[in-house]
Amino acid sequence: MSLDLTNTLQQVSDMAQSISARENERLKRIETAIIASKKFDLRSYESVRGHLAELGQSTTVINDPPTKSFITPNIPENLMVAAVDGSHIDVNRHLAAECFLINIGTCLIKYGDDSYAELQSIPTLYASDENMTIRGADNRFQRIQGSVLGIKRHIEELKSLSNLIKKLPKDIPCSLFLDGTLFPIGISIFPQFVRDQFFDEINEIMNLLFQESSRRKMSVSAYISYPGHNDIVQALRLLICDEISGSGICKGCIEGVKDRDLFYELLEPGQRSPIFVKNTTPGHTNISSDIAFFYLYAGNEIVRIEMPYWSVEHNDIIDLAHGSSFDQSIRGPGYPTVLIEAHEQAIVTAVDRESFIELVELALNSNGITTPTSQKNISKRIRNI
Amino acid sequence: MNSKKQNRKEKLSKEIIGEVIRASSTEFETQCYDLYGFPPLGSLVLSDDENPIFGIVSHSVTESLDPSRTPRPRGPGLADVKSIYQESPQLKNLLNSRFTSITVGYIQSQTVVRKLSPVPPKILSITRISTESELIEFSSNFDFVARLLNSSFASSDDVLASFLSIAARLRPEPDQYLIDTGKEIASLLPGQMRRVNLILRNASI
Amino acid sequence: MNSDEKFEQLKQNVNAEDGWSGVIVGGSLSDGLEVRLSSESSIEGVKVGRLVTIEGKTHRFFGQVSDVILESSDRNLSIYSEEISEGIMAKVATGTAAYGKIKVQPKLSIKTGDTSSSPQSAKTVPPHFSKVAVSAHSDIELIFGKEAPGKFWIGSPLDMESKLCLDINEFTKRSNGVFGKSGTGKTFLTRLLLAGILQSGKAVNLVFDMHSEYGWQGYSETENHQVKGLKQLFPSKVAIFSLDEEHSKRRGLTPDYVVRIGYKEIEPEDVEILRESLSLSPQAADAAHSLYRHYGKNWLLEFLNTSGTESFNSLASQINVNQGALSTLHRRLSGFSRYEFMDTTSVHDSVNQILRYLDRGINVVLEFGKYGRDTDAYILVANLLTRRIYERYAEHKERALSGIGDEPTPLVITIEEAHKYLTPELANQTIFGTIAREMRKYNVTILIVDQRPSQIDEEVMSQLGTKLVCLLDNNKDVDSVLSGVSGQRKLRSVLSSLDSRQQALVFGHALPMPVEIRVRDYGTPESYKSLGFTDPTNKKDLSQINQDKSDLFG
Repeated sequence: MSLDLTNTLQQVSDMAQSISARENERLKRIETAIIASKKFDLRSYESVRGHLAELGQSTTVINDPPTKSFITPNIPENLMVAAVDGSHIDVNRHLAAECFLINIGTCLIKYGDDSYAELQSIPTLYASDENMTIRGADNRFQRIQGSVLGIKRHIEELKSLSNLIKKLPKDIPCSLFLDGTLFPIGISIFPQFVRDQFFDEINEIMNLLFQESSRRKMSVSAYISYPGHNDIVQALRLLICDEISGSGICKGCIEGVKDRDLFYELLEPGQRSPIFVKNTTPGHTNISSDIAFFYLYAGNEIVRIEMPYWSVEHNDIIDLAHGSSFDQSIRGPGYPTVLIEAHEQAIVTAVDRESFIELVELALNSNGITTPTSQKNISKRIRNI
Repeated sequence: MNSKKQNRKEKLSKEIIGEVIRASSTEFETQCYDLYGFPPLGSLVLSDDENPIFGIVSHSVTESLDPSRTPRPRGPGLADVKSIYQESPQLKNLLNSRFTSITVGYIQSQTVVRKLSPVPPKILSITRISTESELIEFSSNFDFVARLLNSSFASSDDVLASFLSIAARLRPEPDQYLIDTGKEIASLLPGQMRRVNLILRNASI
Repeated sequence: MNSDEKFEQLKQNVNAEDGWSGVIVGGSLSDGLEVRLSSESSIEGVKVGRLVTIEGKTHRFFGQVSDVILESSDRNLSIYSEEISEGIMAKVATGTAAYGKIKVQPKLSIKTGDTSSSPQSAKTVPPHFSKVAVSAHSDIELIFGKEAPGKFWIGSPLDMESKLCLDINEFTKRSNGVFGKSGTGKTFLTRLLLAGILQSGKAVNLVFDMHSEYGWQGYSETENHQVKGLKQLFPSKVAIFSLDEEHSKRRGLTPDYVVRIGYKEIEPEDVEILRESLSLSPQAADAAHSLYRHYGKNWLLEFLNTSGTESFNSLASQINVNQGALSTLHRRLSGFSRYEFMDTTSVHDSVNQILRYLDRGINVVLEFGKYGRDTDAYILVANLLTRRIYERYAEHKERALSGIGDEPTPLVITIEEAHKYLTPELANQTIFGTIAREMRKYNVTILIVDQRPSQIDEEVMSQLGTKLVCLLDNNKDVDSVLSGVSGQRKLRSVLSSLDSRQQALVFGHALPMPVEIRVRDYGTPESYKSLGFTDPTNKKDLSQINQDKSDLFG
């Protein structure tokens, strides 16, 4: 017997009722947020921000009022678009061999004259101890698996993206895409030596990208569909919340509102918000964590485009990211074509996973290694009654 | 026709168009190197490894490489198909053209044998369109007719008609060729003159 | 050369000539074999009656085309005939879906490679897919024999140049018939048969030549000129007897003997046979017997001399015959007195004369001259003479059987207009009926030449050994000719498709299978020459004939 759906159904419908009951409340809050954004005062915000920076709290840099919108720029007729996506097969402790696999899919499309496309997928197996462990100075070590592997994969995607640039002609503008956030999330929970390792790697890649971006017209966009961020809402809150301003307690006036809810009302299709910058360390620029971002009404939804922080100074790069993101989402449709194809290349299906396991066992067996596999694994595969 | 021109033509028609991706005793499937790179229906092709095998193109298909991803109509906006491919170059990477050929014979010690090959072609053998002289030689004997008519393809009659049309055009008297073949077909399809008529009518257009 | 190769060669020869060949696809011995024509064959080249050779596995079969059929393998062909009757489709359909089929009646078979024996009647059929083609000359010779003494070239199988021969020995063993409506060449055919019998020396002929066509010369209606009679071709072997000297003389001919018949020679049986033509009642015919008993041999003259009602009455009461019947008989018989060959006084020697010639192997043609137009005279004389001759032959033969002397030379008596006296009513009473039924008991057979075989007694017809039939268009006549013959239906279709001239269907004892022939030419110098005629006078004559011929035909 698998999932008891009749039982689940009752709980699901209870949940739906409760959400529906809260919906009016939510709409009211969004309304409040919109009003707040329209009243947004840059100078007041800057003073609050400065105040908080002194306390060591980082806040979003806002240089234009959030209500300001930018129409879709034209994109060059001849344009290279490239994207990277990845997926992985995690370490399976039921399997005799300890290993994991990262599969990176890349897609490269040339638009304009002599259009063409290149699709590729590059799987890499990590099996050696050295490959699978991050070591600290004092014999501390971290096995790469689970959430660590997720970050490792993200970094590999970034690496592949920087490698992809070598394939691109220098004289044609190019727009690079990543799926999801620009930087991996959740690094902070790991021990210092792990964080250091990751940051070092990211640093290296970002430096490379930075150098490349000076040589060619190139944008790097991390495309986040249905973003759950609330950076701008938080900024609004700083200005309107009684608790924060010290004039009362929080009434939760815009709590729970997402940036996307706000910009859905503020933007027309194709338009983007102003550029915001997220500065992780106040007063200091960090190449491996600081980002510039904007929201874009891409077809049917508000998406968040994250870019390396340096992009903020180059309007043409921002236009390129804005234009190509919108164009790609139209082509998708709904989601950038180039990311869809990269994803299709990267994807590891359930069948693929099974095949991978069999392949590993077969290889071990043929080398004379018996593969004592856990009973649980056997019972998963042989579904007798 | 001067010999230079002839040479050029031979070379052109010897063009390799793809590789065998599926093979059985009675048919083999070729994946084309180029999207839409398949030869016309009824063409004579060869899977050209050490045991060349003749096939007649009987079924061509272009579809998504990934069966779970079907092409999405682009809407009536774009003027023509060409510009769709121009605008979505990745289509060429996601679609593939394949064609199935009914096995109709093979070459053994440089002679054409019009029977099923003892073994099917190897996977990834190259597939090429036959040369004019190969086609003329192959079609000079009507044993292939029965192979085509007996094949399990639903539209084998049309395949036969297309093949005859191609083969007849290479002959000084196309009608006579169709008459001779027609008699063979008629004797293989007793009581089905209307079907024979249809095949020949399609072949003579 | 194996038989297959031989057949291939044969087929090629045939194809060049006739343009067809085929293979057996079905059929039976009784109903005939079905032969599918090869797709290259031209169906128009196939003719009914054609002799064909079938190459079986172990036997070679000979048969005859009995039907030509247009077949189609597609039952619906007629429905969409329009769409496939044009362009290349028509050519494709011809010979495949729409093909020619012929029916072949297997008649004879012989072991493949056997050249010494002659073919036997077919008891089985060749297997499926045996090849069929028109018989070659060598096959015709194998079946019917080569032209040789005793084998008389009578004509050619239809559409072939081969000589088809009749076995004269077999032929003369039985009575035979030549039938056909008038103008179809019966006389020519008969003349040839007579020449054949004469040439063979197997038998002698006695011809009751009604229209004086056989003896000295005849008339060809097709060629529109005179043709030589037997006497001209074989002067030393033919004697012409005449019943009408005047007539002979008018033709510049001196008959070898002028036949006279004495009244005393006429017997009541001779009157009986005339019953029909004289429209006599049975009583009147019987009266002749009574008169014979009353007057004896000279009964007829005595009777004819009787005149006056009283004498009739007394005669009637004397012989106890109805007076009316008697006077009718008298009226009818008095016609005899017009016959100049009738003689009141002498006892004539005609029968002996004829026999003398016959004994010497000389054939006798009795020309009737003007009496040829008088059926009564013909019947009277033919019957009378035949009866006598037959009696003599019977004696002769019986003597020979008891060891005294040689057997008499077989005799063939040719009679015309047989339907007038070999009717079912009279056949039993005439000598001809007897001869026909007896086969060759006394070495005498008859050759019936007639245009109405249906009126001839069935039994007589059934006793005829070999029949040569020219075109007949009366169904009854056809029935009577074919009665008792196997494969009647097929022969009937052959018979009805004969040309009205120079063609005949020949079947019976003298040949192994029925065959449709084009009768050998007769009347040209070449034909005379081929019959063994050498101009006795000089060679100029021959060139003169040619000259005449070219003058005549340009």
